[in-house]
Formats: sequence, structure tokens, C-alpha cells
Amino acid sequence: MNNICRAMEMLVSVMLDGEISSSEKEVLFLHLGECSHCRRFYEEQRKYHEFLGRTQDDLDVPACPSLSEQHAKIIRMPRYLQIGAAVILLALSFYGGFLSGDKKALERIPTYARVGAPAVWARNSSLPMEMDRKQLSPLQNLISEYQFWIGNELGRDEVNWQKVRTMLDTLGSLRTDLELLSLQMGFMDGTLQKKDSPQNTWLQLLGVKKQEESL
Amino acid sequence: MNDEELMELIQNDDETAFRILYARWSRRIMSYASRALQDRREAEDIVQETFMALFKSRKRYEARDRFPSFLFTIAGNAVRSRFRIKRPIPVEDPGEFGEGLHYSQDIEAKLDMEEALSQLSFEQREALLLAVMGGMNYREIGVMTGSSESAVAQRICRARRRLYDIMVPPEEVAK
Repeated sequence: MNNICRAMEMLVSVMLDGEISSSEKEVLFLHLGECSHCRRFYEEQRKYHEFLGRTQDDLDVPACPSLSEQHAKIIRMPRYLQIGAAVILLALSFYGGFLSGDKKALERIPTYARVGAPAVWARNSSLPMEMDRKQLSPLQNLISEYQFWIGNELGRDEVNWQKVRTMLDTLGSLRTDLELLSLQMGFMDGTLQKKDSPQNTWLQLLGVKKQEESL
Repeated sequence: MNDEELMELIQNDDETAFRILYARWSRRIMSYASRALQDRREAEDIVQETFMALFKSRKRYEARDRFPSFLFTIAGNAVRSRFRIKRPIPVEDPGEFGEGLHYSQDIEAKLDMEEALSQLSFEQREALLLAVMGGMNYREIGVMTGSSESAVAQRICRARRRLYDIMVPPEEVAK
């Protein structure tokens, strides 16, 4: 395949996505008239495009949630339920580790204590929208994602505790101590006053060292 | 009634409009998530999460916004987050052909499209599906994934090339 054909592949791709200009289209079809390789590529890609554009019929789509449920989900759990759920989470996490012969289960309790409660706290929140994500530091985004998915898993009818534990371990390894998460939750709730850029404020508040900014 | 009109009703908490929109788009969102994540159970979660987020962010929707892009941006972010929990997203786009499988001597028969799709890197699959299934343009995908338009165009082109390599046996290409 020569460089011209390689360039034509790009034109085929942008044409299928409707991003091609009229002059590019003209060039492409001139070439397709002369090159059997590219014509084959184009014909195949049209088939793939049509296939991928279709939805899969064999999927079991979940039932539509009711709006009243949606409203209910936005309301946070009462504080006593949060604390209770966190305690249960800690107990089950430890118990599961202990039963599986994990000698280090005891050592992980402080980690679960630090990250478990805020995860339960975040149970009823949702992932931030793209425009909000840009206001958060990468670390905040990562933490909020983990919190969300832990909370999401805890909300299932059948909780996969192994998955929860794995996510808690990962979250714990992000140097997330109680102070950091408390600050983050406060920050997300808007109870902390924003100064300068959110990321700078965030880093200043946490005293995060330079090398950790890349997180 | 079109999607934009339904969104206006949803902004006033109209449940019927929400259900119509769900019926219209949920299967497409699930297909997208299932293909992108290669996991149907997680795709179910993505559908619920997407429409929950859609409802929560309904006030942010403006009539001039293209609804499919608005919806697929929400779904795409949910998919990216879920994928990142599974495996960190590399900063660099994989090379021209990415890692994984090519058509080789070991593959006797043609793989079907869904299987071929699973052989793409997540980044390639994501960009291709957002363009084809979500109808998002390169700029919108670029904003979502933090890439330039040209990077998105290249990523999608590489994805298509790779599908071609997997689906079409080398001897047929040589003809």
C-alpha cells in the first residue's frame, strides 16, 4: 500500500463520519475509480459502518426507572444510615478478608475506615458532568469516580463484595486519608471557598507535593 | 415529537416524556456500552446511570444542543469511568495497529464483527462507536476524550484499518 492509498483510507473514514469536504470527496472518488485496493477497503468499511450503526437486538435492556425513584436517589441517606452502612461495610470487608485467610485483613481496617465511609456518603450522588469534571483536579475526579462506583455496587441487590474490596484497596492506595476525603467532600459540596483555580486551592489545602500533582 | 421537544418536557419533570425517550434510546445506549466495555452486565448499569444523569442534568440541556451528542457524552463519560476502574487509560494513543490480535495464520475463519470489535483497544473502540453509534462529530469526541480533532480522526481511521485487517484475510487483500 502506498502513501496515497494510506491517505485515502483516512478520507474513507472521515467520509463515513460525515466530516469530509466536497473537494476531498472528489479526490477520494477519483482514486476509488482507479484503485481496486481502496475500493475494496471502502466497500468493507461501508459494511462495518452499517453493522455498527445498528443496535444489538439480543440485549435485555433494564426497565425504565421512575422519576420518583430518580428524585429519591438524589436525596442523601440520613447521617445515621451512612454511619451504619459504613460500619457494616467495614465489618464485612474485614470478615471476608479474615475468612479467606488474608493475614493482612487487620492492617487494612484503617484504610477501609478512611475510604469506606466517604464512599457510602457518596452513595447517592452521581458522576460529575464533563463541565464539572474540568473544575476538579485529576485526583478529585479519580476519587469521585471510585466513590461513585463503590456506592453503585453497594446499591445492587447482590453486592459483589470482592469487587468492593478491590476498589476500596485501590482507592486507599491513592493516599486518601480521612482529612483529604473530608476536604474533598466539603469542596464538592461547595462549603469550602474557592480561591484561584480549584486545582491550586485543592493542592494547597491538601499540601500535596509537586510530584503527586500528576496523579 | 422529537427528542429536543421531549427534553423540554422532561425539564418540567414530565415522566411520560422521560419514558418515551428511554424507550427510544436505551437499547442504543446499551448496545454502545456493551460493545465499548465488552460486558453486558456493566452495560445495564451504564444505561441506568446515563438516564439518571440525564435527568439530573436536564436543566443544563439547551434546545440548540444536539440531543444524541448530549446523551452520548453522558454515556461516554460513564463508560470511560467504568473502564478506568478496570484499567487505567493510557495517556498515549496506541500505535497504528495497537496491541492485540491481527489476522494471522492462527485464525482460520473470519471473525464476526462483534468479535473483531473486541480486538480493538478501548480508545479506538470508544472513538469509533461514539462516531458511528452516537453520531458525535470529531470535535465533540475530542472534547470528551481530551484529544484534538485530528487525533480523533486518526484514532478512528486506525480502528477501521484494524477491523479490516482482522476481517479480511491477507490473501484477499493482496488480490
